[in-house]
Amino acid sequence: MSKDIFVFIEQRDGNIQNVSYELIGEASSLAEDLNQKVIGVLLGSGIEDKAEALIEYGADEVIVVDNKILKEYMTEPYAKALTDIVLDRDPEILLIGATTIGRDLGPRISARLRTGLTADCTSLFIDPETKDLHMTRPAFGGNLMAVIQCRNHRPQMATIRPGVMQPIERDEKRQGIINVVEIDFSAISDSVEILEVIKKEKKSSDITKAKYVVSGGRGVGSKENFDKLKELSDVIGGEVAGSRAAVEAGWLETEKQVGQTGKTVRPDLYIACGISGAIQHVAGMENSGMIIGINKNDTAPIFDVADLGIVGDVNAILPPLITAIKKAKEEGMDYVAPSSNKYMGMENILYNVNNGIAYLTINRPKSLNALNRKTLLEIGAVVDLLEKDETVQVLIVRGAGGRAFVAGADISLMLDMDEAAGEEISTLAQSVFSRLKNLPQVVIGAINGYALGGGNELAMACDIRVASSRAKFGQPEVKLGLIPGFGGTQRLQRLVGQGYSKELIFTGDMISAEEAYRIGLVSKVVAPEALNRVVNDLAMKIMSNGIQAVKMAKKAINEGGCVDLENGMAVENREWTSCFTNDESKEGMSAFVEKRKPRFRDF
Amino acid sequence: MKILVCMKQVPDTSEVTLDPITNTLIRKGVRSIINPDDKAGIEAALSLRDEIQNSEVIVVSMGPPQAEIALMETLAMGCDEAYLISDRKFGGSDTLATSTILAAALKKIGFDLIITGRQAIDGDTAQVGPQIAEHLGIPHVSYVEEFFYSDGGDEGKAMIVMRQFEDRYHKIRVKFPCLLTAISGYKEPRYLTVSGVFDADNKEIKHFGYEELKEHLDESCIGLKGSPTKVVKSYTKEQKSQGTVLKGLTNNEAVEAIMARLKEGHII
Repeated sequence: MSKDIFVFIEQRDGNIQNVSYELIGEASSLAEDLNQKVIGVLLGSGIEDKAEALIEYGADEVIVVDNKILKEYMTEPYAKALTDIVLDRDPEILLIGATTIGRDLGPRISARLRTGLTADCTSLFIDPETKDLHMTRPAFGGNLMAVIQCRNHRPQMATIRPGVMQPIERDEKRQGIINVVEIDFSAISDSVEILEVIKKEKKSSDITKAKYVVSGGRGVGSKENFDKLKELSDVIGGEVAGSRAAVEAGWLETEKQVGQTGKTVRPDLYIACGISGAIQHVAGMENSGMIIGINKNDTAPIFDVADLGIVGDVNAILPPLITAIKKAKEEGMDYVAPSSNKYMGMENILYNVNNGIAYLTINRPKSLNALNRKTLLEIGAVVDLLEKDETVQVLIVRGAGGRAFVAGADISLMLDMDEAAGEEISTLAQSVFSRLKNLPQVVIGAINGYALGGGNELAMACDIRVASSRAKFGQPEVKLGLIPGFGGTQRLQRLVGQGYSKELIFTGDMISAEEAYRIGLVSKVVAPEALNRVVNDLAMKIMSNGIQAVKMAKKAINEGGCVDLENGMAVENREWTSCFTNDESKEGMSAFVEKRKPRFRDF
Repeated sequence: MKILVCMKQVPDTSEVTLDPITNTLIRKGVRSIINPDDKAGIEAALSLRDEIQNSEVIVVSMGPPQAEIALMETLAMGCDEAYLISDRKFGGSDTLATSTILAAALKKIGFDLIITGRQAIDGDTAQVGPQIAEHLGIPHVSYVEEFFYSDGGDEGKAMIVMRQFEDRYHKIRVKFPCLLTAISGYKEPRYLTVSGVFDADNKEIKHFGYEELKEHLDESCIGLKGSPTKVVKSYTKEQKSQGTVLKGLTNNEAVEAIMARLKEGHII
């Protein structure tokens, strides 16, 4: 029987590549769903001492083949070693980084084993029923996403795009097996021979091939200021480019010009610094993945194509930005930008407000954002603020770190609790969550990962839940001899009905985002990388409507959910009537009659 | 020397747009082109033919009957022969089944050197080339940027190629028979010439279906049945929405807003 998740560990010159740590992180989460192990396969020469680190990053076992023939990557020796190991161990899943090595090795092996291979995946998850792997990948130049399965062949193989998955925290105490094996390479022919290895210099390369582009225009002001753009592009590993104005000013070589008369680029990230965004320039960069525009002039057309526009002085913003990125790179994945607001005193959450949208981020990624007393109190403090804050219309609740929304209550802190302490924490959590639910603002939960126990209960206290495809939901309390205590036995049945609610709570099972969507626990499931954007867009869409009306509708729905139909109707009647006491409804209806867009913001 | 080039006709994905209302791909009216990496492969093959005496370039494409148009274009570029591999039985093939069918066709035609493009712009898998090589039991080198022929003296005839990685190149000698996958961009493909177009008109595209290839094919390994991977669902990405423009921020707030986006996009 096939079992375990194998990860091909890519090394170059003996250095393990980041993508391998990312894949071990992803494999750990898949392994949890399958109740199987994560096995790294490390091939190279003089690399035996590198296996330890892989265990610290989450591998249960590392199979090492250390042989001179594996020093530089060559298809046949690598394919032979990996195939022999796969035939010996019969993995359930084999993951390979979608690099120029992985995308050479993967197809060769899949054809040798006659199994399926899905190229360049951006997300993976285990079907909760069939336990098959779902692999999502972009096609048609990224215009289409396809979900692919390989049901009848093992291993299920996928190459995964670097930079998409997240490594888990390194734990130096983690234990695992290092298994050094010998492979017989004697049958490999001499038909392929490496004559020379030429390392690429970091040449001033082609901007059309850059993953990230930092581009400058007239607003940068001088050649000296352009050095800052270069520094920014260096820290993110991109290239510097510019508008025609920058080239004509002599700040940049001609081959770095973007636009109709220059080059067309479509990097994953395009940062336009002091570029106004004339149509000729936009034509050369509008298909970039993410566009960030920084310009002093708030009417600059660059803001029409930017995903994020910052009205401000680029020369003042770049130096602290460069410092922040350097710091983030040093600190690794858990970094959350320091909040510049005055609620910095909070330890476990981050709170900030932007254009009427408030963000409450549970920020204990090392503990998968588990809720403890202090975190609950801090959420309560934010609720206090929001009850009085009329400038905020939507609150977005989310978890830091990418693996969990909130993985539950902090069990280690509950171990020593007696009856009174147990009652106290439940009362506290129930009251904080109820007040969150009854805030005048719309509360949206952006569920990026585990929402278990108290996490699912927090999610259910939100008005709307949007999940990333990697989110997982459950009320596992009975497994610990407890029951849900932060509202789970009550809110879940009101959302999904008693039958399903009982099954979930009695079994303690974890369900996928898709299943949560099917039963109506969440209203949308989106790709992990799209979650923040979709939630933001949803907030903006709600805010573009009559916000007083939205608030009254929320009130009517909330109150009506607690009473019988007749009394619910009375609540609706009351709120409907009060619509006519504000100017918003007059503006909305007049605009409709006059066939124009309403201007709700003025009220 | 017999140089075989595999070519795929693809929709020009840079022209594929989304219907803003239904959020589905608009394929109607989208131009079909020769896949760019394959065109680079054809150019490499034609340059080698110019250099190596008694050599010929044969293009092989698997696809629907419309792919003949793309094959005509390769003949007009100067290729000597063209084969269209087409059969209802081949429909629904994934990369493994496709490579199995192509390998059968290449075997039947015979070869010293096979060149494929690295990847097709509609699927972007980069799998078919290496998989063909595996089925044929010959070595392959992928991501080839430069091709040189060496008649090699004592070492024997071989290809000397520059194989690209993210951080380095390997200069590799590979003996015949072998398969190489080409990257576009190193050399501009040649234009069609008037005489080329005229000659192409006098050439005929040859057809292989299941009947012609069955001696080399196991029916259980082709088409939908022979494909281990299945597309269970496809969807268009969320529409790019109106961006956010932030005004009146302090520099630190601006940095924070940018950092949040960079994190969101896995850039840092």
